[in-house]
Amino acid sequence: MKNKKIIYRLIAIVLFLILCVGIFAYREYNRKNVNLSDTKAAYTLTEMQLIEEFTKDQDASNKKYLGKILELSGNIKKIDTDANGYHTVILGNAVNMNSVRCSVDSAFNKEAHNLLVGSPVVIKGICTGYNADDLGLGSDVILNRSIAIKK
Amino acid sequence: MKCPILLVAALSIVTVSNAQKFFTKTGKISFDATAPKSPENIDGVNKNSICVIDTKTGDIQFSVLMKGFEFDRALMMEHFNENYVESDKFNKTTFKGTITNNESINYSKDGVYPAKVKGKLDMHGQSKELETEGKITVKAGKVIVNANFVAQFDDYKIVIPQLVADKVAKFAKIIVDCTLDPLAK
Repeated sequence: MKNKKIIYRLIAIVLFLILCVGIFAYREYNRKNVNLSDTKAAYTLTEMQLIEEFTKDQDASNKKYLGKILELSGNIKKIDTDANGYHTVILGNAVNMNSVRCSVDSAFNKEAHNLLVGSPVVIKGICTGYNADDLGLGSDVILNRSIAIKK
Repeated sequence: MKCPILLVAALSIVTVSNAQKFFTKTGKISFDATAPKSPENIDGVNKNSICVIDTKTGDIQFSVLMKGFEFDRALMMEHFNENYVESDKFNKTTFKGTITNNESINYSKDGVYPAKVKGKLDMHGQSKELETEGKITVKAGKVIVNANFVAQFDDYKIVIPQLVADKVAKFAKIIVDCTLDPLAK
Protein backbone atom coordinates (compact mmCIF):
# COMPACT_ATOMS: atom_id res chain seq x y z
CA MET A 1 0.00 0.00 0.00
CA LYS A 2 2.72 2.39 0.98
CA ASN A 3 4.61 1.68 -2.23
CA LYS A 4 1.58 2.49 -4.33
CA LYS A 5 1.15 5.83 -2.63
CA ILE A 6 4.76 6.72 -3.35
CA ILE A 7 4.38 5.72 -6.99
CA TYR A 8 1.23 7.86 -7.37
CA ARG A 9 3.00 10.78 -5.83
CA LEU A 10 5.98 10.30 -8.12
CA ILE A 11 3.71 10.15 -11.16
CA ALA A 12 1.97 13.34 -10.03
CA ILE A 13 5.29 15.12 -9.58
CA VAL A 14 6.56 13.98 -12.98
CA LEU A 15 3.32 15.06 -14.69
CA PHE A 16 3.53 18.43 -12.97
CA LEU A 17 7.13 18.87 -14.12
CA ILE A 18 6.21 17.94 -17.71
CA LEU A 19 3.40 20.48 -17.58
CA CYS A 20 5.77 23.16 -16.28
CA VAL A 21 8.33 22.43 -18.98
CA GLY A 22 5.54 22.43 -21.58
CA ILE A 23 4.21 25.81 -20.48
CA PHE A 24 7.71 27.25 -20.35
CA ALA A 25 8.57 25.91 -23.79
CA TYR A 26 5.31 27.19 -25.27
CA ARG A 27 5.78 30.67 -23.83
CA GLU A 28 9.43 30.78 -24.79
CA TYR A 29 8.63 29.67 -28.35
CA ASN A 30 5.96 32.33 -28.78
CA ARG A 31 7.88 35.07 -27.04
CA LYS A 32 7.73 38.32 -28.98
CA ASN A 33 10.47 40.90 -29.13
CA VAL A 34 10.42 43.15 -26.09
CA ASN A 35 8.51 46.36 -26.42
CA LEU A 36 11.14 49.01 -25.88
CA SER A 37 8.74 51.56 -24.46
CA ASP A 38 8.47 49.66 -21.19
CA THR A 39 12.01 48.35 -21.02
CA LYS A 40 14.79 50.15 -19.21
CA ALA A 41 17.78 51.24 -21.27
CA ALA A 42 21.16 49.69 -20.48
CA TYR A 43 22.96 52.95 -21.29
CA THR A 44 21.81 56.55 -21.46
CA LEU A 45 24.00 58.96 -23.42
CA THR A 46 24.08 61.56 -26.18
CA GLU A 47 24.45 60.63 -29.83
CA MET A 48 27.81 62.43 -29.99
CA GLN A 49 29.24 60.40 -27.10
CA LEU A 50 28.16 57.19 -28.81
CA ILE A 51 29.67 58.14 -32.17
CA GLU A 52 32.90 59.20 -30.47
CA GLU A 53 33.23 55.91 -28.61
CA PHE A 54 32.68 53.88 -31.76
CA THR A 55 35.09 55.98 -33.79
CA LYS A 56 37.79 55.63 -31.15
CA ASP A 57 37.54 51.91 -30.50
CA GLN A 58 35.13 49.90 -32.58
CA ASP A 59 35.85 46.52 -30.99
CA ALA A 60 35.44 47.69 -27.41
CA SER A 61 32.26 49.59 -28.29
CA ASN A 62 30.86 46.58 -30.12
CA LYS A 63 31.41 44.49 -27.00
CA LYS A 64 29.84 47.12 -24.83
CA TYR A 65 26.83 48.14 -26.88
CA LEU A 66 25.85 45.45 -29.41
CA GLY A 67 22.38 44.11 -28.76
CA LYS A 68 21.88 46.51 -25.85
CA ILE A 69 19.05 48.98 -25.43
CA LEU A 70 20.32 52.55 -25.61
CA GLU A 71 18.59 55.77 -24.74
CA LEU A 72 20.06 58.55 -26.86
CA SER A 73 19.42 62.25 -26.71
CA GLY A 74 20.37 64.32 -29.69
CA ASN A 75 19.26 66.47 -32.57
CA ILE A 76 17.41 65.21 -35.60
CA LYS A 77 19.62 65.79 -38.61
CA LYS A 78 17.37 64.15 -41.17
CA ILE A 79 14.48 61.75 -41.49
CA ASP A 80 14.68 59.15 -44.27
CA THR A 81 11.53 57.47 -45.48
CA ASP A 82 11.84 54.37 -47.63
CA ALA A 83 9.57 53.11 -50.40
CA ASN A 84 7.40 51.26 -47.88
CA GLY A 85 6.92 54.33 -45.70
CA TYR A 86 9.25 53.24 -42.90
CA HIS A 87 11.21 55.98 -41.24
CA THR A 88 14.82 56.21 -40.20
CA VAL A 89 15.60 59.06 -37.85
CA ILE A 90 19.17 60.29 -38.26
CA LEU A 91 20.75 61.91 -35.24
CA GLY A 92 23.77 64.14 -35.51
CA ASN A 93 24.77 67.62 -36.53
CA ALA A 94 25.03 69.05 -39.99
CA VAL A 95 28.77 69.75 -39.71
CA ASN A 96 29.75 66.19 -38.89
CA MET A 97 29.44 63.44 -41.50
CA ASN A 98 29.03 60.80 -38.80
CA SER A 99 25.64 60.07 -37.34
CA VAL A 100 23.42 57.61 -35.53
CA ARG A 101 20.76 56.05 -37.75
CA CYS A 102 17.69 54.94 -35.82
CA SER A 103 15.39 52.73 -37.81
CA VAL A 104 11.94 53.26 -36.33
CA ASP A 105 9.93 50.34 -34.92
CA SER A 106 7.14 49.75 -37.45
CA ALA A 107 4.57 49.80 -34.63
CA PHE A 108 5.64 53.35 -33.82
CA ASN A 109 5.92 54.57 -37.38
CA LYS A 110 2.94 56.91 -36.97
CA GLU A 111 4.51 58.70 -34.02
CA ALA A 112 7.60 59.33 -36.12
CA HIS A 113 5.49 61.46 -38.50
CA ASN A 114 5.41 64.17 -35.84
CA LEU A 115 9.16 64.45 -35.44
CA LEU A 116 10.77 67.56 -36.85
CA VAL A 117 14.17 67.89 -38.44
CA GLY A 118 16.40 70.14 -36.34
CA SER A 119 14.57 69.53 -33.08
CA PRO A 120 15.95 67.67 -30.06
CA VAL A 121 14.68 64.19 -29.34
CA VAL A 122 15.22 61.23 -27.03
CA ILE A 123 15.27 57.88 -28.78
CA LYS A 124 15.40 54.37 -27.40
CA GLY A 125 16.63 51.60 -29.64
CA ILE A 126 18.71 48.44 -29.86
CA CYS A 127 22.28 48.96 -31.02
CA THR A 128 23.00 46.65 -33.96
CA GLY A 129 26.43 47.87 -34.98
CA TYR A 130 28.68 50.39 -36.58
CA ASN A 131 29.45 51.02 -40.23
CA ALA A 132 32.85 52.61 -40.55
CA ASP A 133 33.33 55.18 -43.27
CA ASP A 134 34.86 52.90 -45.91
CA LEU A 135 32.72 54.26 -48.72
CA GLY A 136 33.14 57.97 -48.10
CA LEU A 137 29.57 58.39 -46.90
CA GLY A 138 30.29 59.08 -43.23
CA SER A 139 30.26 56.44 -40.54
CA ASP A 140 27.13 55.45 -38.70
CA VAL A 141 26.04 53.73 -35.55
CA ILE A 142 22.81 51.82 -36.21
CA LEU A 143 19.90 51.47 -33.80
CA ASN A 144 17.05 49.14 -34.61
CA ARG A 145 13.40 49.08 -33.55
CA SER A 146 13.76 52.63 -32.28
CA ILE A 147 11.03 54.62 -30.59
CA ALA A 148 10.97 58.29 -29.75
CA ILE A 149 10.12 58.82 -26.11
CA LYS A 150 8.65 62.01 -24.82
CA LYS A 151 10.87 64.36 -22.87
CA MET B 1 23.25 89.07 -61.93
CA LYS B 2 20.84 86.27 -62.70
CA CYS B 3 23.28 84.52 -64.98
CA PRO B 4 25.66 83.09 -62.35
CA ILE B 5 22.69 81.68 -60.43
CA LEU B 6 21.31 80.06 -63.56
CA LEU B 7 24.72 78.71 -64.39
CA VAL B 8 25.11 77.17 -60.93
CA ALA B 9 21.62 75.72 -61.17
CA ALA B 10 22.31 74.30 -64.62
CA LEU B 11 25.60 72.82 -63.48
CA SER B 12 24.03 71.18 -60.45
CA ILE B 13 21.33 69.60 -62.59
CA VAL B 14 23.98 68.19 -64.88
CA THR B 15 25.94 66.74 -61.96
CA VAL B 16 22.84 65.12 -60.50
CA SER B 17 21.75 63.40 -63.67
CA ASN B 18 25.31 62.31 -64.38
CA ALA B 19 26.02 61.11 -60.87
CA GLN B 20 28.57 58.38 -61.04
CA LYS B 21 27.77 56.76 -57.76
CA PHE B 22 24.48 55.74 -56.24
CA PHE B 23 24.03 54.62 -52.67
CA THR B 24 21.58 53.79 -49.92
CA LYS B 25 21.83 53.17 -46.22
CA THR B 26 18.31 51.85 -45.91
CA GLY B 27 18.49 48.92 -48.30
CA LYS B 28 16.27 45.94 -47.57
CA ILE B 29 17.87 42.52 -47.54
CA SER B 30 15.84 39.57 -46.34
CA PHE B 31 16.40 35.87 -46.17
CA ASP B 32 14.18 32.83 -46.08
CA ALA B 33 15.55 29.56 -44.75
CA THR B 34 12.25 27.72 -44.33
CA ALA B 35 12.57 23.98 -44.87
CA PRO B 36 9.98 22.50 -47.28
CA LYS B 37 7.93 20.82 -44.53
CA SER B 38 8.40 23.38 -41.81
CA PRO B 39 5.21 24.50 -40.04
CA GLU B 40 6.56 28.01 -39.56
CA ASN B 41 8.49 30.50 -41.62
CA ILE B 42 12.16 30.95 -40.86
CA ASP B 43 12.84 34.39 -42.19
CA GLY B 44 14.26 37.75 -41.22
CA VAL B 45 14.71 41.17 -42.72
CA ASN B 46 17.38 43.83 -42.46
CA LYS B 47 16.29 47.35 -43.38
CA ASN B 48 19.61 49.09 -42.80
CA SER B 49 21.77 47.55 -45.48
CA ILE B 50 24.29 49.70 -47.26
CA CYS B 51 24.58 49.42 -51.01
CA VAL B 52 26.82 51.41 -53.34
CA ILE B 53 27.02 51.24 -57.13
CA ASP B 54 29.62 52.89 -59.28
CA THR B 55 27.86 53.30 -62.61
CA LYS B 56 31.07 53.91 -64.58
CA THR B 57 32.94 50.81 -63.48
CA GLY B 58 29.95 48.64 -62.56
CA ASP B 59 31.34 48.02 -59.08
CA ILE B 60 28.66 47.07 -56.59
CA GLN B 61 29.03 46.69 -52.83
CA PHE B 62 26.77 45.63 -50.01
CA SER B 63 27.33 45.75 -46.27
CA VAL B 64 24.89 44.23 -43.80
CA LEU B 65 25.03 44.12 -40.01
CA MET B 66 23.87 40.69 -38.88
CA LYS B 67 22.49 41.99 -35.60
CA GLY B 68 20.19 44.20 -37.65
CA PHE B 69 18.01 41.32 -38.86
CA GLU B 70 14.48 41.47 -37.47
CA PHE B 71 12.33 38.44 -36.75
CA ASP B 72 8.78 37.85 -35.58
CA ARG B 73 9.84 35.64 -32.72
CA ALA B 74 12.41 36.76 -30.19
CA LEU B 75 13.67 33.20 -29.75
CA MET B 76 14.35 32.86 -33.47
CA MET B 77 16.37 36.07 -33.40
CA GLU B 78 18.43 34.84 -30.45
CA HIS B 79 19.14 31.50 -32.12
CA PHE B 80 20.07 33.26 -35.35
CA ASN B 81 22.50 35.59 -33.60
CA GLU B 82 23.97 33.25 -31.00
CA ASN B 83 23.99 29.81 -32.62
CA TYR B 84 23.95 30.22 -36.38
CA VAL B 85 25.68 33.35 -37.63
CA GLU B 86 27.47 34.14 -34.32
CA SER B 87 26.94 37.83 -34.82
CA ASP B 88 29.05 38.75 -31.78
CA LYS B 89 32.08 37.43 -33.65
CA PHE B 90 31.01 38.10 -37.24
CA ASN B 91 28.63 41.04 -37.21
CA LYS B 92 29.23 42.25 -40.73
CA THR B 93 28.46 40.50 -43.99
CA THR B 94 29.77 42.14 -47.12
CA PHE B 95 29.51 41.57 -50.83
CA LYS B 96 31.94 43.13 -53.27
CA GLY B 97 31.46 42.55 -56.94
CA THR B 98 30.92 43.94 -60.39
CA ILE B 99 28.02 44.10 -62.76
CA THR B 100 29.45 42.14 -65.69
CA ASN B 101 27.04 43.54 -68.26
CA ASN B 102 27.32 47.10 -66.97
CA GLU B 103 27.72 48.62 -70.43
CA SER B 104 24.20 47.49 -71.37
CA ILE B 105 22.64 49.49 -68.53
CA ASN B 106 21.79 53.10 -69.22
CA TYR B 107 21.68 54.77 -65.82
CA SER B 108 20.40 58.04 -67.22
CA LYS B 109 17.38 56.54 -68.97
CA ASP B 110 14.38 55.14 -67.11
CA GLY B 111 13.88 51.45 -67.65
CA VAL B 112 14.33 47.94 -66.34
CA TYR B 113 17.65 46.31 -67.14
CA PRO B 114 18.69 42.72 -66.48
CA ALA B 115 21.98 42.63 -64.59
CA LYS B 116 24.57 39.96 -64.04
CA VAL B 117 26.66 40.27 -60.92
CA LYS B 118 29.82 38.45 -59.98
CA GLY B 119 31.75 38.89 -56.78
CA LYS B 120 32.67 37.73 -53.34
CA LEU B 121 30.37 37.26 -50.38
CA ASP B 122 32.01 37.44 -46.96
CA MET B 123 29.88 35.94 -44.22
CA HIS B 124 30.54 34.18 -40.95
CA GLY B 125 34.29 34.49 -41.47
CA GLN B 126 34.12 32.66 -44.81
CA SER B 127 34.57 34.11 -48.26
CA LYS B 128 32.90 32.64 -51.30
CA GLU B 129 32.61 33.53 -54.98
CA LEU B 130 29.07 34.29 -56.01
CA GLU B 131 27.40 34.83 -59.35
CA THR B 132 23.78 35.80 -59.75
CA GLU B 133 21.32 37.56 -61.97
CA GLY B 134 19.06 40.36 -60.96
CA LYS B 135 17.55 43.49 -62.33
CA ILE B 136 18.34 47.15 -62.15
CA THR B 137 15.50 49.61 -62.50
CA VAL B 138 16.26 53.21 -63.30
CA LYS B 139 13.35 55.41 -62.30
CA ALA B 140 13.14 59.14 -61.70
CA GLY B 141 16.85 59.54 -60.98
CA LYS B 142 16.95 56.57 -58.62
CA VAL B 143 18.44 53.15 -59.13
CA ILE B 144 16.55 50.14 -57.75
CA VAL B 145 18.47 46.91 -57.31
CA ASN B 146 16.61 43.61 -57.09
CA ALA B 147 18.19 40.19 -56.88
CA ASN B 148 17.49 36.75 -55.46
CA PHE B 149 20.16 34.21 -54.83
CA VAL B 150 20.87 31.21 -52.67
CA ALA B 151 23.57 30.85 -50.04
CA GLN B 152 24.39 27.31 -48.89
CA PHE B 153 25.06 27.23 -45.14
CA ASP B 154 27.80 24.62 -45.66
CA ASP B 155 29.82 27.11 -47.71
CA TYR B 156 29.88 29.57 -44.84
CA LYS B 157 30.39 27.00 -42.07
CA ILE B 158 26.99 27.80 -40.58
CA VAL B 159 25.88 24.68 -38.73
CA ILE B 160 22.18 23.89 -38.39
CA PRO B 161 21.61 21.38 -35.57
CA GLN B 162 19.85 18.12 -36.48
CA LEU B 163 17.12 18.98 -33.98
CA VAL B 164 15.77 21.82 -36.13
CA ALA B 165 16.69 20.33 -39.53
CA ASP B 166 13.01 19.78 -40.31
CA LYS B 167 12.36 23.51 -39.96
CA VAL B 168 15.53 25.21 -41.11
CA ALA B 169 16.66 24.47 -44.65
CA LYS B 170 20.29 23.84 -45.63
CA PHE B 171 20.41 27.09 -47.53
CA ALA B 172 18.93 30.56 -47.40
CA LYS B 173 17.17 32.36 -50.19
CA ILE B 174 18.43 35.91 -50.06
CA ILE B 175 16.29 38.68 -51.44
CA VAL B 176 17.82 42.06 -52.21
CA ASP B 177 15.63 45.13 -52.61
CA CYS B 178 17.53 48.42 -52.46
CA THR B 179 16.59 51.85 -53.74
CA LEU B 180 19.68 53.97 -54.34
CA ASP B 181 19.95 57.73 -54.49
CA PRO B 182 22.59 59.62 -56.45
CA LEU B 183 25.62 60.49 -54.38
CA ALA B 184 26.03 64.24 -54.51
CA LYS B 185 29.67 65.24 -54.45
